[in-house]
Amino acid sequence: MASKKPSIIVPLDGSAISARALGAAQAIASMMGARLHAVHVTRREMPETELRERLGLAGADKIALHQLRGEVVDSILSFATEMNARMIVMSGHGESDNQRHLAGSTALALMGRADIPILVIRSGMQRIPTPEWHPQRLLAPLDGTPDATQALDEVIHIARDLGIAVDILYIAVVGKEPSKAAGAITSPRYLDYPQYDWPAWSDEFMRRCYEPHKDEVTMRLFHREGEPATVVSDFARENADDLVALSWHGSMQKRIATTVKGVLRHAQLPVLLVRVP
Amino acid sequence: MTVRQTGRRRDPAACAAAFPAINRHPFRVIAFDWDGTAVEDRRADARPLARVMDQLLRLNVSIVVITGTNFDNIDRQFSSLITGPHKQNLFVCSNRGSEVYGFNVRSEPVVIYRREATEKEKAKLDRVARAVKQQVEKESAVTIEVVYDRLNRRKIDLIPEWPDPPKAQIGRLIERTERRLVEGGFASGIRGAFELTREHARRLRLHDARLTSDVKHIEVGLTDKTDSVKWVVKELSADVNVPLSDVLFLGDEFGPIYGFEGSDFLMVTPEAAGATYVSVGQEPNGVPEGVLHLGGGPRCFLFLMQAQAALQSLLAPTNDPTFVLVERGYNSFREREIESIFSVGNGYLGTRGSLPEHEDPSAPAALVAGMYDQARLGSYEELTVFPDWLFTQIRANGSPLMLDQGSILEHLRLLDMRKGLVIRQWRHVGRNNKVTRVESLHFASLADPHALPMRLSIMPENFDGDFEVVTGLRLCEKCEAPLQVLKRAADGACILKLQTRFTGLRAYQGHLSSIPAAGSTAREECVSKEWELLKKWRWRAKSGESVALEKMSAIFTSRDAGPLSESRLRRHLEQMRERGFWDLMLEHVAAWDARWRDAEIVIVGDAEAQRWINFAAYHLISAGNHRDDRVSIGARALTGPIYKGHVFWDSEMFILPFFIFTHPATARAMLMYRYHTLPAAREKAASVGCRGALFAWESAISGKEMTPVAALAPNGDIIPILSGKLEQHIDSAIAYGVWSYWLATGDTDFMLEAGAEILIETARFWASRAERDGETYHIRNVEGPDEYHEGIDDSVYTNMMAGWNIMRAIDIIERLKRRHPEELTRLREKLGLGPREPSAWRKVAEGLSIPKSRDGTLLEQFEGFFGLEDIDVRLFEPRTGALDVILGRERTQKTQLVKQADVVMLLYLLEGNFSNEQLHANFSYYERRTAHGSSLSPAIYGLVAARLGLAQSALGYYRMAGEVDLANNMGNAIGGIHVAAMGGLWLQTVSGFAGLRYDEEALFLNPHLPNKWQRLRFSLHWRQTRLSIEVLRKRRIALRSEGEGAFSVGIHGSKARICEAGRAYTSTWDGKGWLDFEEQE
Repeated sequence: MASKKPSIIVPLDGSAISARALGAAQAIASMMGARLHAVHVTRREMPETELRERLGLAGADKIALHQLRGEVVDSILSFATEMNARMIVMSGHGESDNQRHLAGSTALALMGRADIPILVIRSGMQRIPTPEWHPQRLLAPLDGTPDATQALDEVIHIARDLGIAVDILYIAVVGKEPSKAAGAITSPRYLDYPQYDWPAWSDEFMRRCYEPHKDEVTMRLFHREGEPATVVSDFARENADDLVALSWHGSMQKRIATTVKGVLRHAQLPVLLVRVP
Repeated sequence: MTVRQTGRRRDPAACAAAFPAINRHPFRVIAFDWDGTAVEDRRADARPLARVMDQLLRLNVSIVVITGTNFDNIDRQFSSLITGPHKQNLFVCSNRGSEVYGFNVRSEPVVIYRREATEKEKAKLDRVARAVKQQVEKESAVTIEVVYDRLNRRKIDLIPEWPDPPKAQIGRLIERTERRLVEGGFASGIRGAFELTREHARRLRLHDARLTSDVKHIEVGLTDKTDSVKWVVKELSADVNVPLSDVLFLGDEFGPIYGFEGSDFLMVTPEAAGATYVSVGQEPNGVPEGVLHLGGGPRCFLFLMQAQAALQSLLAPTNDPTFVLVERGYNSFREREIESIFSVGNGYLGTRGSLPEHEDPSAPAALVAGMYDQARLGSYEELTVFPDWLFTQIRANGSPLMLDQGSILEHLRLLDMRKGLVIRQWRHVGRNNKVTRVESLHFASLADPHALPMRLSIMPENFDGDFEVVTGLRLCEKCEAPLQVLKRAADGACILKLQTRFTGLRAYQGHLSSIPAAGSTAREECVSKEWELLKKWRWRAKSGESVALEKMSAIFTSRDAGPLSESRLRRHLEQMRERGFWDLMLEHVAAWDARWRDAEIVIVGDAEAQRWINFAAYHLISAGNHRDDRVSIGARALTGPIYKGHVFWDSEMFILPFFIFTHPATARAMLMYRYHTLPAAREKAASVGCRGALFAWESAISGKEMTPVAALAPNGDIIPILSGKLEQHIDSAIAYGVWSYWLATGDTDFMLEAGAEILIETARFWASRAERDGETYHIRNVEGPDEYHEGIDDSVYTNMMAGWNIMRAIDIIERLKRRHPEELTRLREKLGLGPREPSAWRKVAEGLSIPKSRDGTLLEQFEGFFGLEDIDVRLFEPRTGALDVILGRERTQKTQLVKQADVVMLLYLLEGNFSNEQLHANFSYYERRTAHGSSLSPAIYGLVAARLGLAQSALGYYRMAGEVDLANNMGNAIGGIHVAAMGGLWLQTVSGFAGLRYDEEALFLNPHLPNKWQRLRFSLHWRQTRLSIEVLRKRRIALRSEGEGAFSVGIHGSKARICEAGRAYTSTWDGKGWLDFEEQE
């Protein structure tokens, strides 16, 4: 018996802005061999043909359409749980499309509450992915904390399922306290003799990140310095990465998740948010 | 059969000598008779005994009193003297086997077991005793009495008029009782009364009646001491999982008395076969076979217990949290750090503290000093990794015990730094909630450098199961330069014959395991695979049954003194097995104790700092090898292979001082290693067009340069590594080491044999290296300790140290001229040293360019340094990486950013060349520009800060240095510990906070302790004396000395005074500074 196809969910509120996630969702579903479910939360149920027309799904028969009722975020998350969804692909903004804000209120709430990965398509991106989008490389910045390293497992599994390579990027940062977590590994604090300390550090990376996944993906390791969000954006552009994966704890409060916020605000690439376990 | 022995009233020490196991074998259950054994009588003062028993109970030894009397008597005299949770390890088997008392957590007695006689049994006991009394009194004029009010027994008193005869008068008691009975008309005497009791018991069908006699009484009862012993064996020993080989019974009446079996002979039961029996009684008729007769009575007993408590204290983990590192649980991300931190070593070899079962994150490595190989022919030499001798995998009912399979109820690793041991405790939950307890202990013997003992015990807690243990040697599959296996032998011991691939070094490594407990049904077989040579053990264990396996491993190499052979290793392994784990451990612990005596630093008021310095000294001691003068200590010692075992300037500048002052023999061996590499150093000097010797920046077997030419950083940059070419200041570092060693030890033999030659050849190098420009000399195109700036001219560090190096060579030539002219002649001939050469050197030394600021206050790190972009490192804090990485190599080189102590290193090494104003100004200037991108840096800044009286700032640096390996959030220690940073920490303590300086005449102190340090105590070897120095912050310096002769000591900045070894001297703080030392009354 063939294994059940994974499910990808794309929430659509009927606006053209939210529909900007559709191309990426279709591409991802196709690459993963997944079933794509478009969900629309409404107070008034509409005939499917009419709704498909409104959501820009006319003729896209492969996309299952679901009309949900109730509170928007709750409904989407319940549906995701019910479908055991692999990922949510969504636009960072919806109908209101207030670009002054990091993301729309629904998107922010989904990001904060979903425990499955969310691929965010910033509506202001210059090149919105189409169904033909075929990403090759995923950029995963890593701060060396055990939490982030564990979250990397999920990122790598997604990359594996998409059949794409992973670029790991460590960033040495000024203005940030090193993590206090036991087992964290920052960019080397002491480089007594770089000819030995860098290989040792790289070897530790291999053991932590690569060896558990050595048969799953192609991986490259990089090290850069600077303000993380800027470094991530610049690096992704220079290295032709197609999407960025960021691990986070799910909170957008002040002074928290500065990298996530910084990257989301100006991202020209889809951003995959993965919650730390 | 009884054996007559000569033991009588022994001297207590003789008791212990006749029972060597008391000093060698840790008994886990000690059970003993009370009256006559533990105490002379019921009125004896049991407090001395209670004190030692308290100690044993705290060490988790189960103590059992086995007595005929009731509990209250024992409690009144003994057990009430002990209180605390450890009292739960104390038991009293009272009333001749009828009761067992234990104690709860509040130290209150609780009945654990009691035999309650039925009314019918009580009536029968009464009737037996009464019948005996009636018959004796009917047949004779003898009157006897019966004591009825005893639990489960009755006492027939044959001599009521002597109420409490002492045991010492047993002969008299026999004679008087026998005469009383016979003369009173009961002709068959004591023996007849006993047989009469037995007959009445039989007639009245009192089945299994227990009859005993201490001559005064004949007792008939339902229980006796046999029941107590059965409880000890079946309940207590089984409950605390103690094999019978770890149970000790002591009594004073094992042998027969007047034809009766001794009362303690009842403790000798088949159930307790394998236990040890000892008598401290007089035993006039000898003791039964299997009982060791010592004599000596309660005095001997007390001495034995004191000896056992001392032994158990030695074998128990150190009871000082600053000497113990504990890692609880399992964090796979930290595993490589923990392996480094928990390394064990003895200088000859070192072994990372990897989990024996080799979990996925494990990176085990056993490294042997000097055993270098090459990954490919012609590549750089690197330490080869020996097979992991800890490797051990356990299966319970077929399932492997791994940390990532099943779950963990408890997992704890402990590094005992005082004893050099690693202990692991693990409770693993497997399928169907089956819990297995695993405990292991291992060490690299400091007493026998080849010996690597390990002890493993396994116990199913809640199931009966089949166990399989494979243990042995596993080669390193992933290593770049693995050893080749030439031969495998598995005849008793499992032995590998090994060889390096390109350096022609050979070795034998083997292991021999055994399960020493008697009665084991374990089966063994040898398993040989491509990467492994293992022994497989299998046994079935009941729930609660602990099986201990002792594994003895050893390594010999072709670098050792003496012939290398398989038989040598085999003999060694056999000897290790014969001696047993505990004996090897005692020898090892004693060796550590001796080293700590000289190396221990006590800091009162700062437990965190105490732990850092203990950790530092532990790894320094583990790294030192005084037995081999053709090896030195690499940057990560023997705790990890990432630095390939290469020896840097770290060895002389940071590590050597610790050994000079705590173990001069190791310091000498380290310097002799350099001496042996002089031929390669001469070649290197010649290759750059110079005379003399230029030592390798990275050195291995022969001293040829081992520094690679480039490194690849993960940002893709290829970093050219120029230190092998440009860091020529290693020459003056080695010269400084030679001079310091000589000053501190006065070892003239060394100076004549090797030291002078090193000084002369390095001076010669500098003299030929310097370029003349009029009256000035320049040393161009070098690299100082600040490795951020390469290819610089007139590095002030390099030049000043070169000048110093030259002057010391001139000094030693002058000295040889005066005191050892024949040696100078020999050296002149050997080195082709012309008579005018030293004066030419002097010109160079005096003319070397020393760049300075215009006003002369600030040293300019190198020519043009002050013209570089200024930078303030404080603006880059906090940060999550090295500052040169953040700024980038190119920008870093254009700034005044300093990697590590460079000019500030000079403030320490050549302090006397600078005014106080210069010291402060330079420290302040360079502190703001130093990124501490090297682990060597913080301790030197801390040292200078402490000398300048900036004690609080110094403490901040002390923390940085202390946390280089112990901070658990940086991953610093993954590839091995930073042994030079450890040496730096010691330097900061002694040369910084205590303010140690020394010259040819004297040793000086000038302590500046941080506020929280109330007291600092340490020891130093100085010439022929051993000094103990205690500093009470801003109060007093107390100096004591052992050894011979006179020596001079002073306060830095004042004149020294002459002191006599064996006397005590003090200096007091007058509110502004330390006053001169005065002899203490």
